[in-house]
Amino acid sequence: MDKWDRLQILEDIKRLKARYFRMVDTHDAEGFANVFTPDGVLDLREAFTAPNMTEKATDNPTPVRPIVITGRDNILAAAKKGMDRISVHHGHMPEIDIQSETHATGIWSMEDIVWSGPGAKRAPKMHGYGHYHEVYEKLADGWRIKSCKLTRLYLHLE
Amino acid sequence: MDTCDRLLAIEEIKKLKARYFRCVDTKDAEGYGNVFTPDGVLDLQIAYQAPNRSPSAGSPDNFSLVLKGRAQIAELSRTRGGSRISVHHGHMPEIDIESETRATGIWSMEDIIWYPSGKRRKGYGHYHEIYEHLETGWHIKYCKLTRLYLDPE
Repeated sequence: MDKWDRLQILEDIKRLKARYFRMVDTHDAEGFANVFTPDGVLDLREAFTAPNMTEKATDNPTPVRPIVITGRDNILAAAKKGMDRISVHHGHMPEIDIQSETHATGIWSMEDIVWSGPGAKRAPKMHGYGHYHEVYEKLADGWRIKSCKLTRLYLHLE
Repeated sequence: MDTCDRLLAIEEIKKLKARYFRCVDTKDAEGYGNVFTPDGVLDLQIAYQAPNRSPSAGSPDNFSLVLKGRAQIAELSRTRGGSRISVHHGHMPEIDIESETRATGIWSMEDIIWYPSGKRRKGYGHYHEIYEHLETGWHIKYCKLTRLYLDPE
């Protein structure tokens, strides 16, 4: 792998994560599932708790549950159920390490806003910040997310 | 195109879009026009429609929604720019270099507009773009804004 190949891989992975965010916010469940490897893991166990919240306040207002979802098929099923709210997800400042031509890891800073649905009033129902901790694998059809875990810095729930 | 040329093209397009945003928010009308190709199109037909707004909600600024050519695009910036303060940010581009002179891209975006009335409007969406490489570098040939959310009236 020369330096250009490494830079190309960084670009490919940034683009992969951009697609992840766009598929979530445009409610494209199939496209979202295809961001992952067939055995991909989406770990949302810590996605709805944050240091600013009391334990009692951990009920999240979305249909997404704080569980580990394993496999593209299960991610697709969860996405079909969970993508019914207007949402905006942004990723920032990736730290991507390339281990080999087919394996990489990354951490992304993130912000998300979820409204209550079509006809949403001005106030978001959920506004949060945190990090994605990810492992990437290159398959025959390009880079995919092998595992993705969301941790939180702050979460505001209406 | 080798990997190095492709990566440089991607970087140049990111810089082009950064200039787009900076020219909008600093009200540099001529600079804004020059971001586009001479025949560039700025398509704002659905820029004021969002899933959380009523379908009939239109533009609050009352300008033409499809602008063609640098002069019209610069004029939009000139007539609208003076009366308001804006901040536009782009995130997470998905850029495809199709050839040495043609590329496409999708950008996630966020904007905040402060109107002279004191009203503030926040919005989120995506830019869908086509780029062309001219003698003067990469330019936007087509730019369409779609929305995820726009503060209600």
